[in-house]
Amino acid sequence: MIGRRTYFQAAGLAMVGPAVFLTATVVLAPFVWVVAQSFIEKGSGTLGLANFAWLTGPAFLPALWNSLLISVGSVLVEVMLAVPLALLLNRPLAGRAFLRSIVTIPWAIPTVAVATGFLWLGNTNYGLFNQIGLATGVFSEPISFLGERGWATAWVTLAHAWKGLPLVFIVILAALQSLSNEIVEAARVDGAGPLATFNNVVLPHLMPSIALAGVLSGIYNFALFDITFLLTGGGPSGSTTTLPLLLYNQAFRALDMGRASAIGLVVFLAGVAALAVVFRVSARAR
Amino acid sequence: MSRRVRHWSRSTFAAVVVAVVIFPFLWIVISSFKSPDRFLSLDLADALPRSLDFTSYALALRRADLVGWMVTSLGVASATMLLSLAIAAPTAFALARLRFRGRRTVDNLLILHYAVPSITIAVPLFVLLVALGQVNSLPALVLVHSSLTIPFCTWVLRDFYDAIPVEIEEAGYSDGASLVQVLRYLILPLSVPGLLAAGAYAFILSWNDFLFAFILLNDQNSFTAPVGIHAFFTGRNIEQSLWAQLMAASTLVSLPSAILFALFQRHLVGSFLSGSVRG
Repeated sequence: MIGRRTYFQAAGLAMVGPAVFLTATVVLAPFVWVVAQSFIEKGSGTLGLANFAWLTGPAFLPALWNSLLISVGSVLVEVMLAVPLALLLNRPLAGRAFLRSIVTIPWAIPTVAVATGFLWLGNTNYGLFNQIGLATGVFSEPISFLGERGWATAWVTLAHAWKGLPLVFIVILAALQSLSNEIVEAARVDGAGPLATFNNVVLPHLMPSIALAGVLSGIYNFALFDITFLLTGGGPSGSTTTLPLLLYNQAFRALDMGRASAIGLVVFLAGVAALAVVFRVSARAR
Repeated sequence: MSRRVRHWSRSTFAAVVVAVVIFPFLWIVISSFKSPDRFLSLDLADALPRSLDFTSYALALRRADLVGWMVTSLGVASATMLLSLAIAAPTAFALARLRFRGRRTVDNLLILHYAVPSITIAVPLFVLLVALGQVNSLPALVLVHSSLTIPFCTWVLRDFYDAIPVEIEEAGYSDGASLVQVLRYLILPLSVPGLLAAGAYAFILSWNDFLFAFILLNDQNSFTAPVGIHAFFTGRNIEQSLWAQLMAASTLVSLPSAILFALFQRHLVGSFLSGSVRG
């Protein structure tokens, strides 16, 4: 008879086996392939750093900038919406649980439907924004929200923020709920107004959660392909071509796996670096 | 102002704010009930549907493709849900309860898995499936989706197993039950809520996925709903009846995920929180 310890050792390995196998074949093996490909130059097939040198050129840098703009911009919008929304939905309200769950619904909406919503709202001639803008005289002529540089970036950013709002909202609301009423009351008794209470008591308490949720959401939006691809396809004139779209174009249009892999590696490393920073900072804060 | 009035005016204000937040989706649903014949109108008075008109749904569903894509999506998402649970539940239990060598490595592997972005591995997966002759294979898509859910589902279930008192299992062992019997008769019945939450997550991830389905499927007979909707309804200059059908199709494709999420929100939200702390 085998000992209990050996038995649990074997059972443990058997139980994690399928997960380890699938992770190794579907995630790790492709990742290793990406690392290897990033050193292989298209055409000549020679090993080297040519693909990384290409990253300093005029195709990559604008896409990096677009990605940063859209991911940082969307996180700012998310935080600026989520904080007041969490404050509002943390107060006693009729139907509060229902309202909270409605706010989190965008997380579950498929990106193809998110794109439909923002394509339709922003449609140049028939979209609601233009119709209201023209009817009220705010716009003198229809705005092509998806076809004009600047507007397209703003619109894509807004769509990312809408999809990402629930996670940031949930984290901030939870942090708010962990703030004890006595502290807020004490500030009030000491004569602090609502704004002073928020700035000096509530906001410092929320800051670690805002930072963590913001960075996680930013990493996610930085690597997200779907929404931008579905809304603008990277246009107009490349102004919303983010790194995921550039990667896609390099792989499936230019058929350059080396450059596509180098981009994929950058997206991965950027996420890891952002996480490392936020953990270093939050560890020091604690 | 009385307390009561203040309570109700604040509640009304909150309801309006929440309606504005959800508006991009709400607007699709509202627009889906407009008449397809007068869907595109320059007159603001035509923005809202005059009456509940289901013609857009009838037209969209009559396209056999939409029904077919939704059936495909249902199959892929259901299979992903079952496979994910079959893989994540034992992993979560082993990590939570069994002291075995290699445990720490598996922990780290899951974090590494979670840190690799989908877009980074999409191209090599396509290359791999081409090499294996498995492009357009729905079982291959299920395998890919299931692997993507592993970290999150494992963490959801692990939190769940951590909350079950160890005494329950020990009582089982001291009554002479084997590990398999403990799992079957003690742990499994207790873990139903956790399995439902993790299963809902896996289903939603698979049902909503655009990137992998778009890259790994290129034959319209094997499209899932998001890819089919993209391929057939969105384009540069689509006519107004197609716009109307796009609203109906987008509403329909959103419903399963939104409903599942609403049902299991309580469990999932807790897991997002512990996940975001861990992740």
